[in-house]
Amino acid sequence: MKILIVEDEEIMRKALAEALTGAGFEVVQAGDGEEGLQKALAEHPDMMLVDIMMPKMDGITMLKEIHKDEWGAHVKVMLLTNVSDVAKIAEAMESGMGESYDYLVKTDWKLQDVIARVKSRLGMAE
Amino acid sequence: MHRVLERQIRRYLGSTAVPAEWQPLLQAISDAYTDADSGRKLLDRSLDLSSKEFQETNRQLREAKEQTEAIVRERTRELEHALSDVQIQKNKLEETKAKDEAMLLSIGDGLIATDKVGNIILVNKAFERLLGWKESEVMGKRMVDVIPHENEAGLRTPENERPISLVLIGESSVTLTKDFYYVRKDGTRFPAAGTTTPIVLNDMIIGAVVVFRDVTQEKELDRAKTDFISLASHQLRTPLSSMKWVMELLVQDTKGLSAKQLDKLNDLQISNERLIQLVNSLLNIARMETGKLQATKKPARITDLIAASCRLIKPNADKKRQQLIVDVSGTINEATFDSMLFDEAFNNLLSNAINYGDEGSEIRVKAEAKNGAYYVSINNKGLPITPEEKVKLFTKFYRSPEARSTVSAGTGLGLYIAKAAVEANGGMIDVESDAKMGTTFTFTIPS
Repeated sequence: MKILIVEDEEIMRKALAEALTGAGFEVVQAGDGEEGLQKALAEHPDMMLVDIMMPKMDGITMLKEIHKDEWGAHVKVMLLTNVSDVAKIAEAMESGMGESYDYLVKTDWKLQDVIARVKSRLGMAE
Repeated sequence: MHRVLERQIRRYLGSTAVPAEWQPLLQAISDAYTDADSGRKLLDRSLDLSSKEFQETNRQLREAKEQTEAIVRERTRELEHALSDVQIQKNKLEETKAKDEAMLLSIGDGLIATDKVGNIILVNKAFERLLGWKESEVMGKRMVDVIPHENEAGLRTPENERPISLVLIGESSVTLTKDFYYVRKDGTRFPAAGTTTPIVLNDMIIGAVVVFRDVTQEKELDRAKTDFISLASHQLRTPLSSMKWVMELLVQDTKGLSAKQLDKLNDLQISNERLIQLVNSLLNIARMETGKLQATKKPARITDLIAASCRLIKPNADKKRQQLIVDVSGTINEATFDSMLFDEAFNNLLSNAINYGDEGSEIRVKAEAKNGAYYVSINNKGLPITPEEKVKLFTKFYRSPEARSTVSAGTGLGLYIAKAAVEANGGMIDVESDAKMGTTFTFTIPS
């Protein structure tokens, strides 16, 4: 299973990547919305872990673009958020696909729980 | 013989002797003269006396007149003095009145005085400047007609709910109102804050005074502060969550770390969690200040949340040899509320119970469904809270002297946040405390 991580905070991205790789996933990384859009359309990951606040293009805008694509319209998304992104989250929820996203508050979730959640959403065993 | 007669005889007779036959006649005439003389003397004397009396009376009259005149002069002088004093007082009063009016008219805050039915009787320069009305345009008009009062959303406050109306009917005395807007003559509005006070004379309300100011700058400053805190919290969270995950990865590498290193790593994780909680609290306060503390209600189980919180805080209770006793009556089904706000309230109360509870004592947590709501209570044994304290307990930064003596460091924000969180979730919070039962905080979640 391929996971795309779109997160501008390098340390966090590396930690996520390490945890996912350790759990047996193939991991692709992007450091901002533009790169994320590019790699999503090029790599067609099974799931995307997306940070909201990013330079160049934020997570929500990027996802809106991705959903315009035939493949991208149905990709599974997990949004990584800080609680202060409330306004953006509201925006996401109104954008149709937003209903199907997961919303994880970064500070409240342990890595192993994130991995468990990813697996569960992909219908994989624990 | 009478001298006059003698002279007359001599003149008539010359040197001739007076014939003897004339003697009796002459004697009679002489006697007559003498009588006449006496009579005249008496008359003279009488006239003299009368004259003297008259003069005396005259003198007395004159004296009396002079005295009266002196008294009149004296009185007049006194009256003049009194009059001049009164004049001086009047001048002073007018001067003071003029000074006071000048002061009132020029104070920086807007000033409106009304009579007892709400007609404007006085306004100052600041009023003119802030509201765009000239004094002459508003005098005698009803304040509620001239100056609309509305909330943030633009909803006009009905006349009977306006502070001036409430104050004039004696429903409230000094009323400090914030978070409202006044509408100017030209229809534009500005955020204001003000105080409305009744004017009382001989126990009767004869009017009211409103002092108000434009708080646009304050509001902007407030918003800038809140935005800053939001931004800062966001910026703080990023490295904190990075640390959280990196440490988690480290901990999983059990082969590469010694027991001691693992222990230290655990300590780091605990500290990090604490920092994360602090930043969350900080952000909540910022949101509370701007009234943006919104509950995102989703179905959740109170029992699960309580269990998780108790698990997290157990190490702290263990340190004080306190026992956490949890009683969840029957089954509490899912309820719809904001679990983050629940956690915020519950964690604050639980941590208080542990911090202020006696060593080796019990902390009792109870949750039950009752009267259409869920009641969550936390009880600890320890120094009771006095009734005077209860009133101030939930205010920002308040720490009672007892609290200070028990736990020297504390922000005084815990209960303030707990209350705001509970209320944002649609519930209520209360406290009971006595020396025997200890202190019990109870809050509700509507179901």
